[in-house]
Amino acid sequence: MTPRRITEALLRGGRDALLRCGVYVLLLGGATIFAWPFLWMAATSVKLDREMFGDHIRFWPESPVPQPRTPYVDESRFRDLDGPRMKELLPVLESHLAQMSIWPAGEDHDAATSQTARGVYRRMQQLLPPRFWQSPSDELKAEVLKRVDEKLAADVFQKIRRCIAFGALTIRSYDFVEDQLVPSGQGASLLDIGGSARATLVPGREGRQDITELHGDFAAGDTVTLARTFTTSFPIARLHRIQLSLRPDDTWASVNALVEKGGRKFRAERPAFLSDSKWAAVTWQEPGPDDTTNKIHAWIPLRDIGPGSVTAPNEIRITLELQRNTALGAWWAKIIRNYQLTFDHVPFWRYVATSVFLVILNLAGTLFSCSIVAYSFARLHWPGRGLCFMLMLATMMIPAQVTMIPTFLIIRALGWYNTLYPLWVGSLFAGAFNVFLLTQFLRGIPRDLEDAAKIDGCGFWRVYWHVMLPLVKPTLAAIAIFTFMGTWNEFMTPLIYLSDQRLYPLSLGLYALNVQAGSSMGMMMAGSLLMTLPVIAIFFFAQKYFIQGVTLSGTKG
Amino acid sequence: MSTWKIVLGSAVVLTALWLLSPERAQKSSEPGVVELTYMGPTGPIAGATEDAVREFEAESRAAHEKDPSRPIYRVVSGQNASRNQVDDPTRFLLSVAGGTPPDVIYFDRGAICEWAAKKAFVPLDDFIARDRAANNPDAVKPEEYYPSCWAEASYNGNVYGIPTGVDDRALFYNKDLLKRAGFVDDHGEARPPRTWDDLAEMAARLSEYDENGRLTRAGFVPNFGNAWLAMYAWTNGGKFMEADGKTVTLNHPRNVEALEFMKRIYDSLGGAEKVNAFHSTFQGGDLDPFLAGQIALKIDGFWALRSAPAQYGGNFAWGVVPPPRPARELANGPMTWNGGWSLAIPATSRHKEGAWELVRFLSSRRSNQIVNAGEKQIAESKGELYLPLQRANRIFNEEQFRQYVTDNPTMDPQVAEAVKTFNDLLPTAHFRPVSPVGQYMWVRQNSAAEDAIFHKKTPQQALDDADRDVQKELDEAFSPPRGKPMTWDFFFWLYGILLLGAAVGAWWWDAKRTRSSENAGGYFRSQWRGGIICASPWIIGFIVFTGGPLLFSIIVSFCDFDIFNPARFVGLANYRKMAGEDPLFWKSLGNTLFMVLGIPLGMAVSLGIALLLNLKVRGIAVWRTFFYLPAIVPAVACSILWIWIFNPTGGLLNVALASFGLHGPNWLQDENTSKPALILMGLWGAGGGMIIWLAGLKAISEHYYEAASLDGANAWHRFLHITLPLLSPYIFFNLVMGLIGTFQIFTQAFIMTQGGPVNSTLFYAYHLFNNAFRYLHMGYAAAMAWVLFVIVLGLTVLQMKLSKRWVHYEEGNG
Repeated sequence: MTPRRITEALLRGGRDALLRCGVYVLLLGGATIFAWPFLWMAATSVKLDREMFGDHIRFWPESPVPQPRTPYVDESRFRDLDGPRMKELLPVLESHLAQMSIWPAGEDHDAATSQTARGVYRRMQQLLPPRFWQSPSDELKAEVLKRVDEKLAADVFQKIRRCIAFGALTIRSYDFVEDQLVPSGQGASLLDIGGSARATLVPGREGRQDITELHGDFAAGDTVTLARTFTTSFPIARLHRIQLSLRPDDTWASVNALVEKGGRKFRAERPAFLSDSKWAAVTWQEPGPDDTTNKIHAWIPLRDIGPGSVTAPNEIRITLELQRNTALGAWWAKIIRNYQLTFDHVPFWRYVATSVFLVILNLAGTLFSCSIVAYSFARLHWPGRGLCFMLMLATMMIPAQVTMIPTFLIIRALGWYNTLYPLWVGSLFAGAFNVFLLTQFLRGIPRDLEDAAKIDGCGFWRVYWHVMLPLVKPTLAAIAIFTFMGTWNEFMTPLIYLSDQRLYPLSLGLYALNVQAGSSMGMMMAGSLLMTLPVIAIFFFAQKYFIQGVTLSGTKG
Repeated sequence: MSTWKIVLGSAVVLTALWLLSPERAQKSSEPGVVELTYMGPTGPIAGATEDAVREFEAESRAAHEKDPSRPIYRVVSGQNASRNQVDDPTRFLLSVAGGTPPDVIYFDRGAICEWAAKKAFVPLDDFIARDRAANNPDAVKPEEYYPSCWAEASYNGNVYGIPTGVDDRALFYNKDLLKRAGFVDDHGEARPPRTWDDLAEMAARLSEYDENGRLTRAGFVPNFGNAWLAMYAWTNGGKFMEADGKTVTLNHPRNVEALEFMKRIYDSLGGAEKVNAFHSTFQGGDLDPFLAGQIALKIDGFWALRSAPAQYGGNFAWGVVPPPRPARELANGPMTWNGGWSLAIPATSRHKEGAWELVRFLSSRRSNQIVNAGEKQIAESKGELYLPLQRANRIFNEEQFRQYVTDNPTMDPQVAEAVKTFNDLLPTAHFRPVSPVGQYMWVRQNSAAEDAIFHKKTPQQALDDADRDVQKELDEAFSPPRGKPMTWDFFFWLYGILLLGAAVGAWWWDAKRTRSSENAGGYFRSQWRGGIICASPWIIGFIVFTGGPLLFSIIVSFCDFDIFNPARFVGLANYRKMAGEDPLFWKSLGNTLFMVLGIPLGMAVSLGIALLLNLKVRGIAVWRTFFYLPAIVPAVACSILWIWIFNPTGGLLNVALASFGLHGPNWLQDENTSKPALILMGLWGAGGGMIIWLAGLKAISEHYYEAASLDGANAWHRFLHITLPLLSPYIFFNLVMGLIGTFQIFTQAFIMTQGGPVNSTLFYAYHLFNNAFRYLHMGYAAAMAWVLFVIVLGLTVLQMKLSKRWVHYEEGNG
């Protein structure tokens, strides 16, 4: 080979390699774009509301940080802060703020002033008219400092200071008698503190309300317990629920309730987590009629765990256990949060069960009816077969809307409205497209095979079962997959025929969830993801049949 | 397969079915329990109302223990979730039409009359009279209610709903801003506007702009908050309907004047577009625009007092006064309007007695006390101040505000004063006219106002048009039904004869054919029975669920039919309506045709992917999975996902655009981008088509390409002259399937946009569904379905014709 030809070959090779690279880059780019919404769905399903809207929206959820101390200053809130002349203003603001007298004693003074300064700067970005931002340094500083008083600083600081705080602890009987066991602001004197961590209860005030703050240091140990035996104004056997108003501190620590009454001991089925930093109520109640309804389950059930020492008919002992979370535990708590909320809002598993129920019936119905009808069309002779086959082909072109209204009337006349029958009985009547597909394949089977079976003494049932069906297994598999998908996704039929929420399949149930709690995107994405996962799983396991099915319907049709 | 496997398999499946059976969840385990279905606006009963319902159940249980003939009531809620029961009563109507309606429904009072006129609700007067005669302590006493609330739920002398809550509107003003701008009285206190002239002046003087002319503060925006044209028309002495209820007066001179006033204020702020752009920057909670000083004055409802200034308003001075009126109207005293909700009992409810007991309980003092106590606890556990909602029962309303506001020493005095202003306005408040076309009139008058504000029409023109439309609807509502009632006997005869004829014909044809070959005839005849038995699932299905309905649907398309009344034959009226009188029909057809654009785009995307994958890349299964997965995401989940992706502020798309410094559109909330948004969403699922392309590409022989390469064709030419022609059958197939699919688009639009904004996503199938189950124009819906059928048929035939001409079929199979 001459050097020239080698160079040419190399060049050609180089060009090909480049082209191939280009193809992979394109594929990678395309795959990323197509996968992005999935990632977005999964990422959103573990986010808190505050991560979804606001100044800086990140794609990935924030990492939850268990803090060793409470109270502390949230340094993440203004981490991304940026803006014109920030470098110039921050030191001035910090020194100005440091002189104020609003800072609570015994807390991190430096973090408080530096973070508050950033918050004040952010506030100024919103408040200060544009002309000031162009003015000379001194003027700008003077203008800013003129607007920063203690009230504004305290207001900003309030938003970045994180501290566990308790409002009232109340119990309520089934007769609507309410006892405030610990009034808001009196926690310090009424609750006995224990546990391995160092902690104190400090009375405080917020707005119009007295509150109780928990100041703690988890260096020594991980748990803090707050306990007390209370006397109630109603017989404790009538106890309906226990409610604690609290403001979490975003440390993802867990709060558990331990209740002793009437000689038994109860424990909360799952902990509540101190996520976010908004006032909220935690409710605990014993299992009762509420648990089986489709109410929004805004409570944590209490489970009986054995005999207890409090036996008086008007006494209850409540122990609250705070436990610091590990980094991994915090992540786990954050991940399951929206999913748990979804399950609490709608009877999610009931919807899933209904969908599975319908899938089984539809699968059985479709496979049986379609294969037997196709067998009849393809291999058996009877008067009117040709006419019926043509009619069947013709019905494939009729949009479902044409028969929608009469079908509704028929279902109503049968008394099947608001039952599941309309959602699966149809599958017994052999869908035209599936029959057509199977007929095409069954016609291709040589007659000799059938004759041989007959000579061996098979009746036509056995020919159908032992000769025909095994030969069209792949087609049946494809039909099964499409039936599964169709049933799982079906929306309009349940929408029309069901009114009782307890009968909803998942598709309509997810819509109901969207109607109830559409603004909570975390829950929406959690629900959507759960509905999508089985489909994806099936796709992975039955990819071959999936693709075969699409190809069949796309080319034979 | 051996027998025991089959037996075992079926046993497992049957057990699974029994375990999963949803009917198990529905069964009530206790004898004597009567389930009452309660339908609220969204989802299940929650919060404090749940407490009241629990008490109702407990009381019925106590009553049952004393007297076992009385049932134990259990209230079931959360049925038939619907976004907005009033705007879209489809789910309610469906359950009524299907024969299992809710027993009690919580319904907007403004819409009660419309449904009462259609006889959907029971008149409650007899129940009320009976309770009073029996001296029931909880008896509903009409004289205790604010007259406007009671009148709004009454129609033709009967009451159809017991009013529950009420909310009136008033003007909120920011004292600091007014003072700073010099609007002060003799004592140096802020002087709120009393007249329209004050309002107009303040609107202009309190507004501020940045250097680009964008609003940074608005003095007053007529439609911000909750005022609507109604507020300005009534404060101006206008009216919307004559007292006889048969003449619409939307274009009353005073109404026109009111709309001109609204428009003038918008124009003085720089036009409605500019104001709307300003609106889009607003946030909620403690960044509420009124609290943040972005809006100095607003007319808003009582709920707005509850949510914003009462919670966060301690830091600045604000007040509430009656809405301003034109100077000449001041002598007539303060004026506002109110709306609210009521409890009604559907006419087909199966437990009317129980339903009434529940309604009576929920309207009682005890229930109100339970609700207030519960709501208070919920509010306080969130660290919020508790304000009760206004009640339609005057006695209860006064009691509760005395307890929670007047006698509450910790109540913020500004809030107490505002509450008083709101409550003082209630006795004389106006309400929306009670009319069978009330909802339509409301929607139409507001769209007319919009037209005028955005300068699409003059106020006079806009209201004239609206007046004409509403009057036409009203006349129709009062006119006797058209056409002759249909009898269905002949339909069954006709269908029976057709079937019989087909059967006999088939038998005769077969007999004639098989007679010619004597031996084979016997062979064939031996299969008759088995054949028909095997085909019977399809035959029965066809007769019951396809053939009969088809025939019925043709006949019904020539009728007026609303399920509740017998169908009436009206000839071609439905088809004529489609052609001329129903602008939404053409709108929906246009929208659907717009979506057709998505088909070639989707085909291009999927073909592109298929071509890439066909280049013998490594890991084809992995790539295929990536591109195919979006296509199998369930439609409901997909729609919900994309609602979030299209969210203007937090959604993936606009966040991504923002990271490039671009400001994304409002997608689904904007009538210009809603359809493109749906097309974009469709493209995500375009990978589904890829599989078919791949099959097609595999079928193309390598020889063609080799031959072409030898002839010197480059890649592009090879694609153009070999790949495309050989793929043409697939292109055609995809095109036609795509077209047919486009005409069926429903789920996405139903979940994501409800056909809006401004009907921009009202597609053909959706409009058809609406006509069938929302307006109950079943005859018209059937006619639309047949037109759809003709379109689909036409497309298919066209495909077959055209495909013969330019589709290349290799060796005649496709």
